[in-house]
Amino acid sequence: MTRVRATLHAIREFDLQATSLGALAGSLKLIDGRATSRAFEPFDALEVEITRALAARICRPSDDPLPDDALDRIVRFVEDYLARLPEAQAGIFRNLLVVFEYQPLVFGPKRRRFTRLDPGAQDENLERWATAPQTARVAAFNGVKTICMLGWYSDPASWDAIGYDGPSLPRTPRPDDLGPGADL
Amino acid sequence: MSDALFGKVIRGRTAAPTLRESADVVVIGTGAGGSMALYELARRGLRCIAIERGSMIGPAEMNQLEDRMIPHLFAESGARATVDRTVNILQGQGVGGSTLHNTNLCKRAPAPIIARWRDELGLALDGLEDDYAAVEAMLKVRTVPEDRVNANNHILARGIEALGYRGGRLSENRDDRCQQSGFCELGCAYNGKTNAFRMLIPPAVEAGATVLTDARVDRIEHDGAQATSVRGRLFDPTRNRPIGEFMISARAVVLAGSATGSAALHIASGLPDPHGRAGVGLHLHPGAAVLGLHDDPVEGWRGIPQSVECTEFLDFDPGAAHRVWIVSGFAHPAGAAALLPGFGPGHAALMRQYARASVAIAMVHDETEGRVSPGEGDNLRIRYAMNDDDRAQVALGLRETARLLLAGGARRVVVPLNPPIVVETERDIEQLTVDLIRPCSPTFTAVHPMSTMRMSASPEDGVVDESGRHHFIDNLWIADGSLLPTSIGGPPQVTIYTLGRRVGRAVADALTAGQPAALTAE
Repeated sequence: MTRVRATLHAIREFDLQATSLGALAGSLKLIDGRATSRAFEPFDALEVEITRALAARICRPSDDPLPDDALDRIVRFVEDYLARLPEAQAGIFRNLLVVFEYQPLVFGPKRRRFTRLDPGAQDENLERWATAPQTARVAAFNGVKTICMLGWYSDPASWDAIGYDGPSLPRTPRPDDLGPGADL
Repeated sequence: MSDALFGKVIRGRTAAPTLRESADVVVIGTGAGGSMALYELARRGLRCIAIERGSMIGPAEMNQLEDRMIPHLFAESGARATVDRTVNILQGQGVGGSTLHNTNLCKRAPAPIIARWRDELGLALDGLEDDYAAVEAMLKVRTVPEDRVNANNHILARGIEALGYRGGRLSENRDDRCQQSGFCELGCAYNGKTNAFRMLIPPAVEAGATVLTDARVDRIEHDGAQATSVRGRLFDPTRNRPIGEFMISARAVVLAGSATGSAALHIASGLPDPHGRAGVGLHLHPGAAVLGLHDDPVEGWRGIPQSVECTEFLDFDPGAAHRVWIVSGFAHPAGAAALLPGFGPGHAALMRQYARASVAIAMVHDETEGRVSPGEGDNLRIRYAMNDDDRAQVALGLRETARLLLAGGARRVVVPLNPPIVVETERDIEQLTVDLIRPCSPTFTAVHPMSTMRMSASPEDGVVDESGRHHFIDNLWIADGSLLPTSIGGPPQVTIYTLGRRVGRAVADALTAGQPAALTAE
């Protein structure tokens, strides 16, 4: 409950005062330093649920939902991507996920967490973020959208629909535990 | 320097947990400026260690996938931006810096800009033209051949011709290894770029230079008059976490970590700056993309991404009425998806036209001056509030880019403002006015940050002299886009390579002539 209260407080602060994403991050860090300190840890169940719900609405190409395996891949990508970001950036993003989740609960109109809204209400909520008069809210939405889109449109499952044929010189990726580069 | 490191590329993981070394010169950053300086120094027989924040990523590892390559090739995994997140700033990392992912455009700084630097800052810049020519020969710079202009660029060229605008083909640094795959921004799997990675690093290492990768310099140690060493951390590139530390003492330091990174490091190190010149004056050359929709396939991801420019609205006098450079551009699907407006099915409908879309970008030769300061680690604090004159230039750029795409054959044009505007007629174009240009409308992308530690004859006007030597730290030089006193209104890489050559030669001359004397090599 402490985290919920802190997040609700942060949401109010955000809508009333934030003029930049930096300001948001600063206020969130004062209230809840946990996300920043967890920047390099795997997503918890709540973060997986929120990311999955956001990606499902942002990336869906039609009225049909994205397949579960595609959503799983997007969530995994977002998690991996955040793990490589500078700690401060990763912390901001993880806090943002929680803000996206609880903001509709506080401001309505349906007073439910984002993941508990029906799909139409989720879209309306995201539209309010995307077209908000506050730069910080639009920038926050753009950040979430960019990372989700990077996950979805890097997936070959998305390419046929847009007429893209992928790499001209497919390569077997290096194993993740080796990483790029070599001693020469 | 120990013989074990001589002439090698060493990963941070190999050097961890602790590396203590000494060298004649430490070069911080291996982009265009740092690599060129390193090359010049190594061939003069000086023992050099270059420190690179990113990894050594060769063509065999360029797999043309955005989710794999972007986090490795771009600073902050591609997430670098101004603090208000209104301008995305794409800067390279990895051995070769931004030359790994850039689209190989080669333009000299315009003569009126050079004249302004001479007049206003007392820079002589003798021999600059000869240095440009030498660099261009080394990098095999050529005009993009006509038969390598792709469909997307032909659309812009048709627009230029139809409207009678000034413009033409661009120059590039590629050679015939280039297979026109179009994946330049994700690194070249064919090694067709005649860039720092291919043309400068191998001969520098052959001459004895050492490159330490996956390493970040946190501080340049100094005594107020001399730099003594650099300190930093070593990283595991797979998860980007620190795994060790290093300290390298040197007779001289060349700072070439980009117009953002170098300025932040200068400030974080507490280097002398009595006139407050470090980190200010940032120009971003911000760009906004416009999308043309066509009846026939364009498949703009195939072929050389950028080969045609429109310079009709690009003048270089201060306060000029026209300061917009229009150039073709294209992104692979994820990059394109991030720039297109909206989300869900509406966004996907636009994406389904990806193969029949053309893209051109309006970049502003900006007079806005931003500021860079250190943040937490790689996460720099970059402030940039676009002024009204530059906003007007953005509006001009969007109008003219839309007009060019329509004249080039687009059925309609989407201008990704918030909300987006669809343009089909001249009347629609005229509605693209400056009042529509607001933060996040459009989303800006900047790939040419410049000017944060500019050259000047007087210490009051800049951070370094025209050789790149620091005004107050005798054995510190700067060799990156920080040096450019103003925006140059175009791609800066050839100018940065050229200044890197001049800096490298100046450092070598100083060290081999015994100046500065009594430096602090261990």
